[in-house]
Amino acid sequence: MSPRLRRAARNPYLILLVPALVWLVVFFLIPLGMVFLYSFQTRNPDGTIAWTFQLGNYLRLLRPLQDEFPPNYVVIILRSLWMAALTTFLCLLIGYPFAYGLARSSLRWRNTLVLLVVIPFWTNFLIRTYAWRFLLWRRGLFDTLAQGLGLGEFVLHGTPTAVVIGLVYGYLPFMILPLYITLERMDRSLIEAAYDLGASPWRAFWRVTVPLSRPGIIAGSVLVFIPSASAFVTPKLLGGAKSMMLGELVEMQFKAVRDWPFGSAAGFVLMALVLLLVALYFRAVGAEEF
Amino acid sequence: MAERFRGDIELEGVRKAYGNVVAVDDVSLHIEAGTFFSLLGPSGCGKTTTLRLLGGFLYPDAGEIRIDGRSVVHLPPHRRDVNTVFQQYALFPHMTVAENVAFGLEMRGVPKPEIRKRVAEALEMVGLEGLEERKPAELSGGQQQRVALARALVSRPSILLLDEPLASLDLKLRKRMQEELKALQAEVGITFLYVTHDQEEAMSLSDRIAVMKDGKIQQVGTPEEIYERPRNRFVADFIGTSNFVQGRLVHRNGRQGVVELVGNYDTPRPLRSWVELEGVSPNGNLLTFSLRPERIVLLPPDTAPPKGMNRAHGRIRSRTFLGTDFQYTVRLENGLEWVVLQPNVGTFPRFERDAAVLVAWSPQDMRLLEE
Repeated sequence: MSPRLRRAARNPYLILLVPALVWLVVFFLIPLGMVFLYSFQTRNPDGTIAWTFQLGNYLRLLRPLQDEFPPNYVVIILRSLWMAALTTFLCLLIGYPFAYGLARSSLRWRNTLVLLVVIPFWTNFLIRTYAWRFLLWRRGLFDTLAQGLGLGEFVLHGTPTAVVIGLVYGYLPFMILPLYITLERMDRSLIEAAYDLGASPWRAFWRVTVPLSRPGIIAGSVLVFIPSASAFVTPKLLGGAKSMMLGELVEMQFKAVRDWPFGSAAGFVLMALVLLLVALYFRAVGAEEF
Repeated sequence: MAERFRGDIELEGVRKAYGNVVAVDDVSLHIEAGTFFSLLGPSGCGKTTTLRLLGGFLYPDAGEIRIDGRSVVHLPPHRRDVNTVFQQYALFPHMTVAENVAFGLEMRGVPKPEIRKRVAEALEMVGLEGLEERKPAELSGGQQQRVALARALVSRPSILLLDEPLASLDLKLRKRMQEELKALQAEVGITFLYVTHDQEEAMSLSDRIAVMKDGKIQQVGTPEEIYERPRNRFVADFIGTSNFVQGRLVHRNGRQGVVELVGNYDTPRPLRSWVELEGVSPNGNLLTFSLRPERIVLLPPDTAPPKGMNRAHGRIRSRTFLGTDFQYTVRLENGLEWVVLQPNVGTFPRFERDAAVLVAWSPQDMRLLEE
């Protein structure tokens, strides 16, 4: 054993890690390894796995196929990442002012407002997404209102916009909460110091508040981006053929198509891309101080 | 040196309340340009609120605040020619020392080359050359303090507000920073308004002191004036230590009078003291005096007391060695206990516990207090 390991072995607290480690190994690493193995196989006509060990599934993902539905997997991959990025950006845009107001509100208001952020979690995500469907589809609430006001048709259901709306709605709390925590514990005298030194409120915000809330921005962005990129309920319920996302494709391969090897490969590509992008993001924002 | 007439502060009937707690209660104060002025008082006395009103972080409920004759009540902090050194320094943790110091100049639109020059000058002034690229977290408490000073002074404000800036430093460093602050103020020649609860600090630094309690100014004056002629019991107690002596005026002769001291029990012959009464005409009322421990002289019981001094017989109850002084507690013949400070010098006799002593004090050291 290396000296470092020997030292670690003497730390009695390490035993506290055992339950979580066992759980992760049994229920995460082993299934992940299985999926990884599947991704190199092919499918028998009855949906069982043919142990053939080849790279065909990965090549199929990268090769734009015109005659098959959905037509182009590369487009789906890029769309997923783009919609996730857009969702993250919109969550930041909407969530930051809210988190800021939350952190600056009086204690009495704060609890109520935090409750408002968390309340949606009390209802099943699927049900909430169905509710959006009723709002967005033809003769839904928005369409009816728009037509009643003589503004013409207003049907978002089936469009990428609807999917982004649903994603922003679903993951906004994951942006607000970490932002709120960093903004709330930020030393307020720093902002006063900025005013004191001649900064207008606007400049103090950009020069002091935003840089100091970076940990919250990073955490919130990662927490929103990862589930958005792999979302499948929202695009399935709110989107259409033109807004299919990678998560939806994976789900489809496992359930409807029963092509587990291809679904596994798609899942792995998704995971690899998300990890890569998050790593690039961390490097770009200098997360070593995070 | 700054121009001569910048940094003059006037507060007139200023009031600020938080809910039903009145933090600053009808405070009027004139601070002349170029003074090192301290607001001194226990926590919660309103000194920090007064400072924040001047910095522009609070808006007064009533009253007028003028800097160099111009009302600043409606000016936000970033439009006031006033900079603050915050209690915990409030250095920007994401910026280097140089960026911290440059911040105020940048906000005021000073051109880049001049910023570089003035930042270098400011850091040199506080002795931090060579630390430009450090982050605040990499500095010691004393160094952070200096960065805060350089940052506040670099844009040459007419007033520097300091909110207990030395409170988180250890004693040795605090003493050294006190000297540096004093020297710095003399060098830049602007008004320093210094908030502290440490009376020693206020005394050694300030040209003038305002003692505050419960949002009200108790007394304003030079450190000497406040120590030598405390106006009331609070000031006499807060600044240094005092023996509070109560007595009834039994005789008056011009500025001199005789009071009969109130003891813990009656004695066959009441204990009397000559006192000086300036401009007060008491009529048999109970008067309270402050008598400083170092102004009392202890002598062997059989000696003749110096001429013109009051005297009483007493017994040593306790003796504490303080290094430069001995601190005694003496019980007088009427049961009063006084604290007495005698210098640790050969010419002063030393007494053991329970020794009988003659206690002597001058009439002018009996300072009449307002009730």
